[in-house]
Amino acid sequence: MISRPQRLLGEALEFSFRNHPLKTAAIYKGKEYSYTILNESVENLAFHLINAGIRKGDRVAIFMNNSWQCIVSIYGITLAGGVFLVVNPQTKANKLNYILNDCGAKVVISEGILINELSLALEGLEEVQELNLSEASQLNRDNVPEYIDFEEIILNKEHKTYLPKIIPNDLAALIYTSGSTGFPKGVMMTHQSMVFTSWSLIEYLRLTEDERIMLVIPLAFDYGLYQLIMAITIGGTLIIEHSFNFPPTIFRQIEQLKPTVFPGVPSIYAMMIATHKKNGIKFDCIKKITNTAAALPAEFITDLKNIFPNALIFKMYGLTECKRVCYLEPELLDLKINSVGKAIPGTEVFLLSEDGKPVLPGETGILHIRGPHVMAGYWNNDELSKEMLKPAKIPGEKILCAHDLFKMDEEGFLYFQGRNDDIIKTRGEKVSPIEVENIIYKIDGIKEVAVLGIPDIILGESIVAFVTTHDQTKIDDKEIQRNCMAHLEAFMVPQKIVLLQEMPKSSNGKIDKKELKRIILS
Amino acid sequence: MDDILQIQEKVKQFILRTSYISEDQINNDSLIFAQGIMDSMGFISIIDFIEEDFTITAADDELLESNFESINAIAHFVARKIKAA
Repeated sequence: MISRPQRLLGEALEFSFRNHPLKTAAIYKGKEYSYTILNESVENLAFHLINAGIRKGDRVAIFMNNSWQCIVSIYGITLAGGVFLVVNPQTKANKLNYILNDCGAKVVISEGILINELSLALEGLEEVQELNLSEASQLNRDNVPEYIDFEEIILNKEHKTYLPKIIPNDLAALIYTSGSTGFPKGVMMTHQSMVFTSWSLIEYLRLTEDERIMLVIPLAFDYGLYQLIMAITIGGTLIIEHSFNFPPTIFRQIEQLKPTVFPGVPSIYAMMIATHKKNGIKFDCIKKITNTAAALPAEFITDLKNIFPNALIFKMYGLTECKRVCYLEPELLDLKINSVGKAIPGTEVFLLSEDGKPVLPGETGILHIRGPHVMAGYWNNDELSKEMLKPAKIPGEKILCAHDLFKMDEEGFLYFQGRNDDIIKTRGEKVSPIEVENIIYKIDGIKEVAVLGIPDIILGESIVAFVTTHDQTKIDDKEIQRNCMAHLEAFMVPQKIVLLQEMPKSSNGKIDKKELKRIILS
Repeated sequence: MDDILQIQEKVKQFILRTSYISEDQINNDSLIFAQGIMDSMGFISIIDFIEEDFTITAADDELLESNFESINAIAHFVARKIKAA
């Protein structure tokens, strides 16, 4: 008999559970969870959400650290027909409030340790009908909003309702990413798009069901989210860690749990290389390492080969609006040193000039992407969607314009040249300069602010804030950074503050960021 | 010899100096790695700081999160190492 193809995101779990009920799906805090337990917990949550009033297409927000509870939530929401969004646990109250309001989340799933920012964020949000809280027992503070215990929900097998019928065109997820307007925007992904993408990634990464994938990247970041989706789709095992913040724990976990795939970003690899040089760490079990978010510096390669002697190294490039654009076959690593490779399987890329004409090999052009992985648009934002999605020859089809500049060689390999918008990409995260500027403008004594990114070998770009003050008073750098830290995620805090006597202006009176870039780089 | 309160204060000042957190947002029990106050680069700087300022050496098997998770944890770890030296 021909087996049923996967059409919906959640079906991956259903199939893997049926194929290997007893296999370990996830390892978290030293505990192994089988596909049977995962499937059961996911079903219990899905039925709870439906009973709580979640209908097809309703948004359910997850504000959690990487955890077992977080992965149950992702698949539970999708099984209930809801649209999930995972919000970075570092997000501060104001931004969280904006996101929850923007997407109109009906239910929020979170955890006790995040209650401070969460309670503030929930104030005034009328659409949120229910809060599910994990590890809430340790809460010892007043004014905890009313909640239902998450651990009880996923143990409760009362299924007195029906699952909704969802089809591949339905929305599966919103992935929030920083926007040039200073407000995050929700990238809409359908089931068919996410299923397609997961299989394209699995194909080129050559993953098998024996894979054990180590997750240190946040699930709120699409790079992290797809590690989960791929692990479940292949019927593999996901090793869940909160973060890479305390490296010795990760190194010990690799030794003990023997993952086969390690997805990282340059700042993680830089840290590993520094440790390797000090005490010679080496991980034989890892068969594949992947890099995205910022270019992998060529000088890292030799050390990475020493740390991971048995691993294929995959260089990749992407943007949230289509998840991933291209990858370089690991066998070509030394041959195509600065390239990020070719389009992922089943997709197409091409470069166009400013006036929309194809560019010749070796010339710089704007990257355009075609394929089923392209987003449906930004949630609630037609105008911005139109800026990114252009009509194609086939009626109704949309092509993604990445606003990134690339060159392509005669053989079709891509080379990143830079961005043509203001967005800063640092540690793999997108940062909107306006968002940072808005916080600094609120500090007493500040007259003008301009925030921009400058190239940095480890971070991709580092963030610099140029400021002028009223009466040219001195200003404490640390004070500015602390203010940013209090209102923004840690990766958005400028590494450097530069006090200027006067802000350079262009002829129309706007702050001249090109001139500022020239000042800092000279 | 530094007493525990002095060590705590030194560690706290170091963390305030190298992170972007303000004094009113951190206490001696705040989980500095779990809450993202320090990241992996911050971890390296903490090791360098305690090794230089307190002339102690942290062995590989002592690099446990429980020894470094908060200002208090670091201070107690340093105090134990000084005592053992």
